[in-house]
Amino acid sequence: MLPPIVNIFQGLFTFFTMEPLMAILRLTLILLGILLLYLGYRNVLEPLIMVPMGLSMAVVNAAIMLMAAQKYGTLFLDPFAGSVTEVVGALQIYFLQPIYTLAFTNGLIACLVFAGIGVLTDLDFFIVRPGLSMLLAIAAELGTIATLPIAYFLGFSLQESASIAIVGGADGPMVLFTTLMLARNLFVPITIVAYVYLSITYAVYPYLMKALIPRHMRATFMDPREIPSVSSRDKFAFSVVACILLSLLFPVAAPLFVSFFLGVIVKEAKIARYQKFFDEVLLTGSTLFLGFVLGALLSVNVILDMRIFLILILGMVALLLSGLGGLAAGVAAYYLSHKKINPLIGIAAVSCVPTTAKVAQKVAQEANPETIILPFAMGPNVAGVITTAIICAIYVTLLPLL
Amino acid sequence: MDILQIAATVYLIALIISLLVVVIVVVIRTLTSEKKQPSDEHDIEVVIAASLAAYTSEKKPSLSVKERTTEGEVGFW
Repeated sequence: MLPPIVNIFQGLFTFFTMEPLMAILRLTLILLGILLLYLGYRNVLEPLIMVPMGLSMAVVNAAIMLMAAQKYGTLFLDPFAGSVTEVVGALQIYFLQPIYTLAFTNGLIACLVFAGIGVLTDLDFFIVRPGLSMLLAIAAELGTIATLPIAYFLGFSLQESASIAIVGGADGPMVLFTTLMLARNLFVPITIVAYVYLSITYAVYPYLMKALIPRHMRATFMDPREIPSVSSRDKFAFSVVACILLSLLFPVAAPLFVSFFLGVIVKEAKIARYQKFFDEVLLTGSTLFLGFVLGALLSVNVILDMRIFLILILGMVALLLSGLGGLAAGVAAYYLSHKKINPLIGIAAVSCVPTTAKVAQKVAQEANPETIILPFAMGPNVAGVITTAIICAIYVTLLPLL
Repeated sequence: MDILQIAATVYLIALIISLLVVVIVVVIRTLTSEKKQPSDEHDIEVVIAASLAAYTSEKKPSLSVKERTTEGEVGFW
């Protein structure tokens, strides 16, 4: 005799057996997943993260079934498994649990992505003009700092506020790391908001630049041939010294520092096999699983936290403030250099590598087809990664002590 | 400690550490530039190129940075 049809097509029938609000939210998340998937497919949003995230987000909400004790759930993962017994049990049930437990709960995924970023990082202009790069970068951390009190006044705890504020650094691994260290309870909404927004910066920042910077300033010509060559030895030496010193100052954030500089050192040491491994395997694989697992975390029964709407607003505020800070510093650099520095390189200091630098180049080239600011923009871009890592380190070190 | 004080303190510490990073770069650049000798076999190409540039009154093009960063690396992190 066949079991009741309700038990065969559980994904479909749970729509009718669960609370109507949950069912509507679940349907919304499925549609949102499809939308992200489509926008990734069309290259409107970053496909590397949006395609796996959109797909798993849609599927995890479609595949909701009745689990033990008549609870709704999926066979993807259980982010709430805390005790050893729960984790061991979850590892045997949920197919993504091994990846989540191994790489997400301890921040490993952030470090793997960060190591991959290190291999892609070009330190040339940063080494040539470290003062300019770092000052632009510190100005572009405005959102990372100013959002802290704003979130706090809106009712978040100090540690939750810091995790939200770090979105202003526009650096995914840093958001992952800070949230896992300080506000594990908000890991899912903050990380999702961060990655969606990082993808959106590609679309929003050009309008910000055009709205605030006059065309004649955007068209400022910069000649990349003026950048002197920097030896691998200098870049290698800087990476080793900076990595050790920063780890010495902030042991809690040492995993982040060592991962990033390991990537840079592998590149500068010209270890071709590792370089290829970091770039093609490690970064690609980590990004794929990052997107897929984040999407799977967006199950209706996991994300039911009304504070996500506040986080959505605060994430946008953080990124906008950082963009404004970077542009303001860029304008200052323009005047202080007697109009020789294109102010758009300021927004590249918002360290979304290498997106913001590429966006700055695109907007500058629209104003003046002959200008090439990308090599100059990579300096503040890299400096932005370092300053965000420093602020992340200060947050995770200082705030638990208060 | 007041929340605004905390934010200001974090920013100040970040600024100081950033300046420390700048100092590291400057020191490394200074130390390595002192060691460069025209006779260094690794720098022969640079010396020849500089001589040629001086002879022809042209700057030596150094497009390596641009070439590397405009290769079209995709992604955002």
